[in-house]
Amino acid sequence: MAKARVDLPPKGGFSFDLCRRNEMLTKKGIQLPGFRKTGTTIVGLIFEDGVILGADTRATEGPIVADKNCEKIHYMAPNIYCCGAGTAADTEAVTDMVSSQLQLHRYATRRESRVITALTLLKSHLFSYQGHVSAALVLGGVDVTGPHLHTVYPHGSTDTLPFATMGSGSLAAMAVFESKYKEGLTNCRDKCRRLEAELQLAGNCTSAAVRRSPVAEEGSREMVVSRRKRREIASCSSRLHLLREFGEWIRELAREDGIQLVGEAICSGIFNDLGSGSNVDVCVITKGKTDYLRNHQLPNPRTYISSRGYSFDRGYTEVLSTKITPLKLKAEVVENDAMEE
Amino acid sequence: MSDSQYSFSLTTFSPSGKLVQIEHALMAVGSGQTSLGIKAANGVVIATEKKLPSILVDEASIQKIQLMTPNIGVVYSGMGPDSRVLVRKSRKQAQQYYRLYKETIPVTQLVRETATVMQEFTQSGGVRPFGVSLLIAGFDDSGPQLYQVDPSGSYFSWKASAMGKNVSNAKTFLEKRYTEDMELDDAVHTALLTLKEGFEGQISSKNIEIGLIGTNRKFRVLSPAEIADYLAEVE
Repeated sequence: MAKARVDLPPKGGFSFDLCRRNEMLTKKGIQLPGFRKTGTTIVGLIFEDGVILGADTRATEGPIVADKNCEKIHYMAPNIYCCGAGTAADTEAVTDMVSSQLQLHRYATRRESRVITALTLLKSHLFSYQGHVSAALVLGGVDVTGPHLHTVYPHGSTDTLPFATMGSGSLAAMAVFESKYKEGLTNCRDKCRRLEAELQLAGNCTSAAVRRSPVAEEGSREMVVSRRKRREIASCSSRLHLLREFGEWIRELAREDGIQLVGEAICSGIFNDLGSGSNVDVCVITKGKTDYLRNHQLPNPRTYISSRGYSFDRGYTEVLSTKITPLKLKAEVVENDAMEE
Repeated sequence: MSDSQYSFSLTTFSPSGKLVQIEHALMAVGSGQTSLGIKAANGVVIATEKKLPSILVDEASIQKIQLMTPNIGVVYSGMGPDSRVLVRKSRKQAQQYYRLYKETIPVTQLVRETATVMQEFTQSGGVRPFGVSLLIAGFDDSGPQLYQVDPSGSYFSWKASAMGKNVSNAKTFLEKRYTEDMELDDAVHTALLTLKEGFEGQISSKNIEIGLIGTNRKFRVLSPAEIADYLAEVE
C-alpha cells in the first residue's frame, strides 16, 4: 500500500555532506573548478517619483571578459527589479527563485508585491546558506508604501538607502554619487566637476574611499581635513546620519537628472574599475510604470579601421628571404583517332 | 448491492470493477453549484453560480473563478476547500515548470499535472479523492482550450461542458446552441442563457461569476458591472 503523500517543508540551509570529500581532493592536489564572477558596478538611487537602477554589462572569468553584454538587472516583479553582483549563476538563480515565489504570493494575496517581501525572501535564503551563495544585490522598486531601495550582502544582511552601489566598481560609482547627490545638480555643476576631476586623477579605489566624505567646500585642503575625520565617517552610524542629511535633496531630483547621474556613476565604474566595462543598462521604476532601458549608453563601441577589409601594400612586412619553386606541368600529347560519337 | 461492502475503502476495487469512493466523489460534484464553460473560435469563457449560504455573507470577498497562470483560469463544482488545495498545487507546478524549462506552461501540461495530483489521491492510503471537478480554460500557442478534470483524475477536452446540479439540462441546452465559429461575446451570451435555464431565483450580477480569455491571452474575471452589461444584452 502506498504511503500517504505529505508535503514536508524542505529542510533548507547549507548541506555539509560533501565538505570532507572536497578537503580530501584539495589535499591530493585537485583544484576546485573556477566560477564566473560578474566583477561589476551596480547602482541604485531613489528620486522624486521612484527608483532608478543601473548596471554595467561585463561578466568576467578571472582576467578574461566572458560576456561583453550581459544583463545584470533582473526581473523580480512588474514593479520590482534587482541588480546582481558576485557569482553570475548565484545572482541569476536566487533572483529567479524569489521572482517565482513572489508570483505565487501575488496569486494567493491578489495584490501587488512589496519590495520588503522580496527583500525578506532574499535575505533569509542567503543567510541560510551562510554566505556560500555569493550574491550581492541592489534591490529597488515601487509599491503601495512608496519607492524603496535596499542592498543585500552575500551573508544575508541588508541596508536601506536612498542611493547605493555594489560590486567591484562600487567605490568609483559611490564617489560620483556622494559628490553629485549632495547639493542637487543644477547649482553646483562646476564644484562637482572639479571634485570629480580630482577624484579621477587619484585613479585608485582606496583614495576614492578616503575622499568619500561630505565635502562642504571645494579645494584639496578640505580633502586633507576629511582624511583625518575618516575614522568617524567610516563608522556605520555616522554614515547613516550623513545619508539622512542628503534625504532632503533626494525627492527633488528629476527623472532625467537621475538617469544621467546613474549613467555617470556606472561610467565611472566602467572606466576606473577593471572588473566593469562595456555598456550601461538603466531601469526606471515609478508607480504603475517600469522602463527597462537596455544598453542605454554604449560608451565602448568596437572600432574597425575599414569596413571593406584591410589592404597591405608591399613593404609593410619585411621580407627576409625569397625562394621560388616553379611548378612544372607534365603533359603527354598522344596521337589518336578522332572522338567517336 | 454487494458493491456497498466495498464502498468504505478507496483503494479496494468492487467486484463490478468500480472504485465506489470515486463514484461517491462524483455525486458530491453533482450536488455542487452549476458551472459551465464554452470554447469559442477566439477565446474561452467559464461561468458559475455563486449562491451564498446567507445574505449576510460578504459576496465581494468570495471569488470562485481563480487564476492559475496569466493565461489559464479555472472554475469548479463541488467542495470549495478541495478546489483551493488543487489550485494552490497547480500554481506551484506552473511556476516549477517555468523555472525548469523557461517556457510558460502549455494548457495541456498543466491539466495533466493537475489530473495527476487528483489521481494520486485515489491510489494512496489514508486520503480521500477530491470532491471537485474542475473546468480549466486557457489560451496558448495551440489556441483556446477547455478541459474538464474529474475526481478520478481523468480529463477531457470539451467544446462546451457543464457540471454540477443542473448538468443534464445545461448540456442539452449547450448541444443545441453551440456552433463551431462562435465569437467570444456570443459565447458569453450563450453561457448566461444556459445558467439562467436552471437558475433558482433571480439571476443577477451578484450571484454569478464569469471569467474569460481572448486573443490577448490574459485571463480575467469580469466585474459585477460588466456582468450586468452582458445580462442586460441577453434579456
